[in-house]
Amino acid sequence: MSEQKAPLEEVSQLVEEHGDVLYRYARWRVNSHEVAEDLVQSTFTSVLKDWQSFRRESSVKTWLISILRHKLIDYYRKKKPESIEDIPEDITMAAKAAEESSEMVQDAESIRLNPEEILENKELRLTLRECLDNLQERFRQVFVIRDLENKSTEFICENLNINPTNFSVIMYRVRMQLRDCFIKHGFPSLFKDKY
Amino acid sequence: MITCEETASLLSEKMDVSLSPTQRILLQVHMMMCRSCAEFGQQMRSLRDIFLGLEGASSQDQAGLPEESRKRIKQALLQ
Repeated sequence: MSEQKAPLEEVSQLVEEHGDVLYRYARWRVNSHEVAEDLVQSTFTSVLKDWQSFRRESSVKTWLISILRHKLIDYYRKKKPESIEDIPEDITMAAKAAEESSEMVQDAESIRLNPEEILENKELRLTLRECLDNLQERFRQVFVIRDLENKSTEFICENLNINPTNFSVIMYRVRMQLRDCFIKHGFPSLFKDKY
Repeated sequence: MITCEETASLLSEKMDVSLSPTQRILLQVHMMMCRSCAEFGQQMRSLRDIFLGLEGASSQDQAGLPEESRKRIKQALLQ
């Protein structure tokens, strides 16, 4: 009986020590507190189940994050049937995105984005988080796996069951939307060399 | 010459996949002639840097695992 209790106590301790890190990691990648909590819970449940197999070859945090990343990919995979319709498939949508971007391209000359400056500004950071949260769920997934998880286009197309053309359109639209968000919220303080 | 809209789309695509030689040439020619699009390309790259750095920079801005969630997770471990 004590053999069964020991892992439980150890995993409960891990929840205390690493719960925040895992939750923040998950919350960055899904647009919902509930889903983030479920993913963290599922991670710790797996940890308890596979406790004996953990050889401590890597740090506990690295191990936990790697399990969580698998949970995330599983979650994205399961989401695909209901979300596939969100992906623009016809030329009209692509044309609309291009039209929207056209206005932005014309504005581009006067805007300077300085990553360091932006990241130092807490208010701006919170606004950008909000921009990410405001993305359509499917778009957010694709963007996160590509730009935050740094996965290849092939990996994303295969796992989310989208074709390369749709992938490119989605990434293009997401980048436009995020950039639009910069202009809306961070614009005044980001101007440099502007008359 | 390709349009600014086509250029914007190619600039995004270039960040994820290899462009064909023809696409690369079309893009280069347009970028040499169009300052707005050259700026736009820079912004696209900055955008990626910003979001890559944002997670680390904002780790303290974001709330951790709420106490209620912590309790629920520990409870689930018992089952």
